[in-house]
Amino acid sequence: MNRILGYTLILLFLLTVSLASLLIGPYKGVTLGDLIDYIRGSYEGPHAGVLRYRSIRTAAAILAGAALAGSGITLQYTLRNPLADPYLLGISSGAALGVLLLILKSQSPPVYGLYTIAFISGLGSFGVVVLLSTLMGLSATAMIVAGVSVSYLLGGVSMVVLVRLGDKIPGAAAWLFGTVAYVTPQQLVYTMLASIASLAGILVISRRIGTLILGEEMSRGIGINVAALRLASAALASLAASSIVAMAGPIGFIGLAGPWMARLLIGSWFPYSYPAALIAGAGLAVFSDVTVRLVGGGEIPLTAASSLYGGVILLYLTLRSGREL
Amino acid sequence: MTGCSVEIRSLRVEASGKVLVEVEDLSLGPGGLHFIIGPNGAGKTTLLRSLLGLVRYQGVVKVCGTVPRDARGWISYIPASIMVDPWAKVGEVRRAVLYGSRPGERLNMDQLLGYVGLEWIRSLTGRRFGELSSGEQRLTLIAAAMNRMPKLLVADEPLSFLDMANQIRVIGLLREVSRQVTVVMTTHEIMYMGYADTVTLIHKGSIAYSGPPSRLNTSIIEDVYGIKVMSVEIGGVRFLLPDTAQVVRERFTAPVRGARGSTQRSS
Repeated sequence: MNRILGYTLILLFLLTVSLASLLIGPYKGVTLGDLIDYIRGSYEGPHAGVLRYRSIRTAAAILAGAALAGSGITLQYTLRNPLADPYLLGISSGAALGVLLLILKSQSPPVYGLYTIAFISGLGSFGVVVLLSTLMGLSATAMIVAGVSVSYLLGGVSMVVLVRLGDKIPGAAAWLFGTVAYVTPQQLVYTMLASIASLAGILVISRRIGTLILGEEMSRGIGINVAALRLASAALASLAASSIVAMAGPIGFIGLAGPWMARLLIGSWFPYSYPAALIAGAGLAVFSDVTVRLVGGGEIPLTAASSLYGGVILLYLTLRSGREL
Repeated sequence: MTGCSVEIRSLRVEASGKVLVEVEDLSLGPGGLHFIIGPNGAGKTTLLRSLLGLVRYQGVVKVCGTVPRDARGWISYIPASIMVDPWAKVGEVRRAVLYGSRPGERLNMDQLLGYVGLEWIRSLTGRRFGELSSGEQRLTLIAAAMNRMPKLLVADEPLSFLDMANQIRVIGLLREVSRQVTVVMTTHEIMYMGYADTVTLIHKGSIAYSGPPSRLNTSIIEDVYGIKVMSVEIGGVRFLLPDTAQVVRERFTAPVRGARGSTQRSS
């Protein structure tokens, strides 16, 4: 597919769902005219509060989707694993447990503390997953098995911590299943800083990451320090993914689906597919967040919506990878 | 001639206490097609990888007058086992191979490919790498490696997985290329030795022979490989072939172990 056409498609997708996210919700009565006035700064009607809330929520979803998909595609290239995703590889569950433990230990932990502990524990559990999958032969599926196992283990511990949180249980439970409904502007700023740092770092090494489609031996042959590249990429990918966990909890499958949407539309040259994955992931996250609002009987968790299509994509890729990867 | 030379002095490569390669002195190029041959596990690949600085070694390796690490911009390397992402398109593979190249003289690839009847590989650009046959994959990587405009082309068993027609095309292509670029390749196809400017025979990590293919005796080959070899001259070119006729005779005339009754004879 033509690259420009591909980019146009995913940008249109992101634009459409973002618009829907600003206009659709349980609170009815916001019109497109209101929204345009609000964006211009000339709105003086009764919906200002709702519009502000929905703007923050939409921005949070865009940020979450972009960061998770960016993290996912980086891991897919550097680990040479088409199934890699921060959620499936244990980064998200590690970061989540870290955050819950900090909340348990301290009454009102500082926001930067939450982000720091998320990054450290996310990277730590990812390290354990890589170690385990090395013992299992480092195949694409072995890595996912190791990642999912570690995720279940840490998820179990998280549940134990969760029930000890007293009056914080309802909020923490909603967060643990992934949601952008309760994001504060301060969290948005922190997450944006972490994501931009990750983005900048990955862009600097994007051509080097691109050579990894040749395989490790050929990449090394043209002068790439593959071990150092993997380490840097893992740290940058974990930074983005863990900052999303700190803001919105562990959100599944967008880190898997976004990259594949990008690769199918744009191709596999990383400097092109990476920005496309950011846009596609943002679109998918906003789309999922709109979906959770539309399901009757109150909001469902974000991961529930993203798992619906993410699970299908994972199955499809696993079936294919059995044949040719 | 823009190819650059390879010089090795007192090279020693070890892994977990075992000596893999020990080469006192070897100079190849500038220019020319250089075969590295030898039995499986003799150390051919290790020797090649030391040219790129991909293995830890002792001694001196100079490529294009400098250490391998600093020469990588001028080297193209095609490993024996191809691990290219099957989802990547051929054009994307070509782009990735160009990373970090410090181009030497531009080769007229269309012309070179045309010489050997391989111009069709240009038409594979939009195909996914995983869809190609193993022969097409290898040809694609060789063409991509040449796009890099290297001064040294290092190819580990570029003839493996190719049918006879493609083997002749690839060796013909490498022969053409070697007028402008130094080509060092390993192979088991000693019947193509006539194409090479030099042949280096590696046995248990050391050089058993290095020089023009015309002076490589059958007796050295027989010592190293432990099989009978015959030398055949066709149209003034000498070919070394395993003496399969003798093997067939021995195999089918000797009594089959454990078999009862009369021995079978080949018809």
